[in-house]
Amino acid sequence: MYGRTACQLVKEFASGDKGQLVSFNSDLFQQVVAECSQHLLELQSLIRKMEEERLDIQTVRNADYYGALIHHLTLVRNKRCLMAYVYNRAEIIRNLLWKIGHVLPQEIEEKLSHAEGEYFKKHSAALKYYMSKVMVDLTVGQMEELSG
Amino acid sequence: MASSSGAEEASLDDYASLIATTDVELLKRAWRNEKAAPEILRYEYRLISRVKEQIQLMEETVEEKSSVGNDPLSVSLYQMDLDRTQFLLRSYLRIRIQKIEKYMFHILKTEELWSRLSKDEKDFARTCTSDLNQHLELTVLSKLPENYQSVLKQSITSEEDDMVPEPQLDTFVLCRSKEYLTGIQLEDGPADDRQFSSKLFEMEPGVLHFICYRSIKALVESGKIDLL
Repeated sequence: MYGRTACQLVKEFASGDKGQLVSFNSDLFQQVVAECSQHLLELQSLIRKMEEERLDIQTVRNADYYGALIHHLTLVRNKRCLMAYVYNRAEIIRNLLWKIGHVLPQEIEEKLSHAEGEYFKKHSAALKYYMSKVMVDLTVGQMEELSG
Repeated sequence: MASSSGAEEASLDDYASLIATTDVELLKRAWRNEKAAPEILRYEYRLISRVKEQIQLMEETVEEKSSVGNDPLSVSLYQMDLDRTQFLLRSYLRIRIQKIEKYMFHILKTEELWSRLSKDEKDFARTCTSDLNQHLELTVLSKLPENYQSVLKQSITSEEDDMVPEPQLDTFVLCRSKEYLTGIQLEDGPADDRQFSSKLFEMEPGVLHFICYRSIKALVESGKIDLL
């Protein structure tokens, strides 16, 4: 709770080799999502309590208010971690297109979640469409660029 | 070689100098700038369409020459020139596409950057953004409480878009001016320092400088300064 699990998720990503994918950690991911719902319940119950006591949420700064605030901030932090995890993985997945090409080898594909697999296909289609429009294949000649 | 007619040689010289002194050099400059700038620059629409025409012309020349088959040396020279131009074009377009991939949300919502894209790049950016949006939606956002579902904002209490990755404009770049420039405001160092002793900077033509991109951003856009 309070962002620890989410932090673990991001740390796991950050400690991996740069540009390399490990399997999508759906266990940890689901745990963070579940914590988010839990934080929302606690946030709502604290606000309800203040409302029942006829306290103005905009002005009153008591323990319940700060408790609710902590839950809100944890939710935001969890969201940032979940998004960072998925967004940065998506970035690696897009770079695979440049590095490996439009068909992924089995051992890499296994590491993607189902949604990530779909995303890879869609992005590959978008890139192919662009290249067909400009009539230039952008995937060739990347090695010369690195050496030159 | 000596047997080939003088008129033909002259026209070849013209053709060669046309290629060497104009558009390919311009493309190389646009490519260098694009490569070194942290943000996406204006799409060189006219230049790129001219370069594409020239590539086609060169391809035809190479084909014609190699079908005659009596001058392999000049064919290979034409081929090298063609390869070089194609490499620049591909690399230029690729760098731009990779910038769009990296900063799509920022580019899509920033009018100034959006207007710098070619039509095909805009189409790509739109598809690209909606694909990633959908992916984030499906994997993360739909599982979060209602007030936390925006892709651009952390929660509904955020006043502005605070979840959009932007290019780092404070990065340092290597650059060179073509003319004498003066009155460049250096935008590094703490903000209040800048107010009191507003350091104005001068640039001699052809001298290399290592400078914060933000300070010379406008001069790169107006073509006065080249990045390296």
